Amino acid sequence: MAAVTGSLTPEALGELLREARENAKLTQAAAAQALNVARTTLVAIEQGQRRARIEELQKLAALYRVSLNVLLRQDGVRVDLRPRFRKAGEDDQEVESAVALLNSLVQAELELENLLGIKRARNDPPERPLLPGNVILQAEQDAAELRQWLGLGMAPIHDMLSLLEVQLGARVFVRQLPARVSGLYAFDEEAGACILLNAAHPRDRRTQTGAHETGHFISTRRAPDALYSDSPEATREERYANAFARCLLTPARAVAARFQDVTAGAARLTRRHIIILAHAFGVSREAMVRRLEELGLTKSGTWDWFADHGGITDEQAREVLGDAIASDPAKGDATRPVSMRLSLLASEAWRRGLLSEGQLARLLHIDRVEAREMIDEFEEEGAVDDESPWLLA
Amino acid sequence: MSHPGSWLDDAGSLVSDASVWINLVATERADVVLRASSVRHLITSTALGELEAGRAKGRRTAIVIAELIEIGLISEVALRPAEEETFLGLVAGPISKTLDDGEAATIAYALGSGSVALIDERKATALCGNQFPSVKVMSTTDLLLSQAVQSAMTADDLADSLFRALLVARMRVPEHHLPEVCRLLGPERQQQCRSLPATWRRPPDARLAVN
Repeated sequence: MAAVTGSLTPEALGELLREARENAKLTQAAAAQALNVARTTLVAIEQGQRRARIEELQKLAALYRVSLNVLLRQDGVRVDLRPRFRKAGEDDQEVESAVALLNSLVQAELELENLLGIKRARNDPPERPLLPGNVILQAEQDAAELRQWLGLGMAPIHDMLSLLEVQLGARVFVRQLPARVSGLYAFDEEAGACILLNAAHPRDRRTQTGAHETGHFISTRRAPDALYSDSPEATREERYANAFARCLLTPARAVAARFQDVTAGAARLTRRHIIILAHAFGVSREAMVRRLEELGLTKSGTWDWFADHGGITDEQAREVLGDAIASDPAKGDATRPVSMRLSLLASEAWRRGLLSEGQLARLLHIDRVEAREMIDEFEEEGAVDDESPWLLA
Repeated sequence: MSHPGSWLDDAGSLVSDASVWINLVATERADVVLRASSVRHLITSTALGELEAGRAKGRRTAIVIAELIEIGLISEVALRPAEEETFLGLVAGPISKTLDDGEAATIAYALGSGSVALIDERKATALCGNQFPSVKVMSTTDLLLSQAVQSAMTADDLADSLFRALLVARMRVPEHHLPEVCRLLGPERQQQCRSLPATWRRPPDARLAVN
C-alpha cells in the first residue's frame, strides 16, 4: 500500500489528523484500535514521524467523519472555533452542537469567499477591556462610545443584525437552534467577529442577544461566549455584556425622553405604553419594563406585576401596533437548508467550476439533491444569463 | 442524431458516480436500465459510502443500490494501489483543483480498470478530460438514451424515467441531449423540470422568440 506523498509534509499531515481526531472527540487509543495499530504508531503518525498510508488515511477520515478531500485540502482556510469554546469550559451538549454549526458556517463562508476572491470589509470597533470597578458603569460608557463611533446618536437600533454585519463587519448567522440557546460569539483573527443567533427566538430577543454579544466583541473580544438558559450570569463579563446590551439598545436619555412623550398626561403605566415603547426601541416588552425600572421611571417590580396579571400578549401588541409590526426575513431565511447569502456564494463557485457538486454538498452539509436544488434556484430564469448586465468594477 | 448506443457496445464496464446513481434510482426503473445494458455496472466503495450518508436524511438511493448489489446487477469495487495514487492526486491539493472523494474514486477506478466513467458533474468531467483524456466519461442521459435502454422500454416509460430523474433528482442534461430529452418529455413536462436550462423550460414558441 502506498504511503502518502504530495506537498503536505508528514508533520503537517499529522497535525491535520490530530485536529480531526480531537474534533471527532476520539482518543488516540480509540483511533489506534480502529486502525488496528498500536497507540504508539498512531502517535508517530500524528507527530509526523511515520507517514500514513492511503488505506490508513481513508480509515481515519471515515472514523473522524471527514472526507479525504477536506482533510488534505492545501489552500483551504481553516478556522476552528471549537477549541476556544472547549477551553472556556463550555461542555453543554446543545451548546456544543451550536458551536459546531457556527464553526461550519464560518468555515464555509470563508472558504467560498477565498475561492471567489472576495475580501470582506472589516470594521472592528475599538476594544475596551474590562477595568477594575463598577462594570455596569463601564458598560454604559462603552455603549455610549460605540453609539458615537457609529454615528447613531440617540436613535433606536431597528436592525441590530445589519448594524453588526454592515457597520461592524461581523459575520452573523441566524439559524434554528435549541430553544434554550440564545446565541454564540467567537472571534478569529482571519474571520473576525462571528455571531450565531437563534432563529426560533422572536426578533426582539435576537436583537437583545446580538447586543449582548456585541458587548463581548467590545470588552472580551478574544474570549468566546455562549448565551443560553442557565448560563452563568454571575461573572463580571456577563454582567457587563447584559448591561452593555441594555445601554446600547435603550440609552437612558432616549428612553427617558420617549417615556415622557408616550406617557404624557397619563396617571398610570399601561400595557399600551409599554407596547409602544418596546416597539420604538425594538426590544421585548419585558426588557423595556426592566429598563424603565432600572432607570427609575417606574417602580421596581412593575414587570412582575404585569406578569402576575396576565402579562402583555402578542395579541395585545398586534391590536396596538397593527401593520407597524416589522416582518422577520431572517426567520424565513433560517428555514432554508442553506442561507441566502451562502447559497449565492456557493452557486457562484459552482457556476465558475471552482467546486464540484460533491464538494459543494460537503462544504454546506447538505446532500446532492439539496445542492442541485440550491443551484437550480440561482440558475433560474433571470438569475444569470448572457444578457444579464455586467456589474461595475 | 448520433447513435448513442455505440459507446455502450464498446464499454466493458461502467463505473458510476453517486451523481449518476441518484438519477438512476429516481427513474424507478434502475433495474430495467441495468439489465438492458449488457455491461458490468460498478460502484466504488467510496461513492457507496457517500450514498449511505443520505439514509439519515431519508433518501432511498442507498437502500435501492444495496438491493441491486444483492441481486447482482451492480458490483461494489475497491481501489487498487495504483488507483489509490490517482485518487490521492485528485483529492489532495487546492480545492479548486480537486474533487470530492466519491468523484475522485470513480475517475481513479475508471482509469485503472479501463471502465467507462459515468459522471453527471461538470467540474469532475472537465478535470478528468484535462488530466486523463484516455478515460471515457459519459452521463446518465447518455445511458438512458442508449439504444440498448431504448429497446428495453416503451417510449412512454423512457419519457417517464427521464421526467422522474429530472423532477426528483434534478438530473443535469448535457446540452447536446436537450433537444431529444425535451422532445421525449413534451412541453408540459419539460416546463416542470427546474434542472433544465430556463430557455428549454419555455414553450417552443417562446424559445424561438428569445433565440
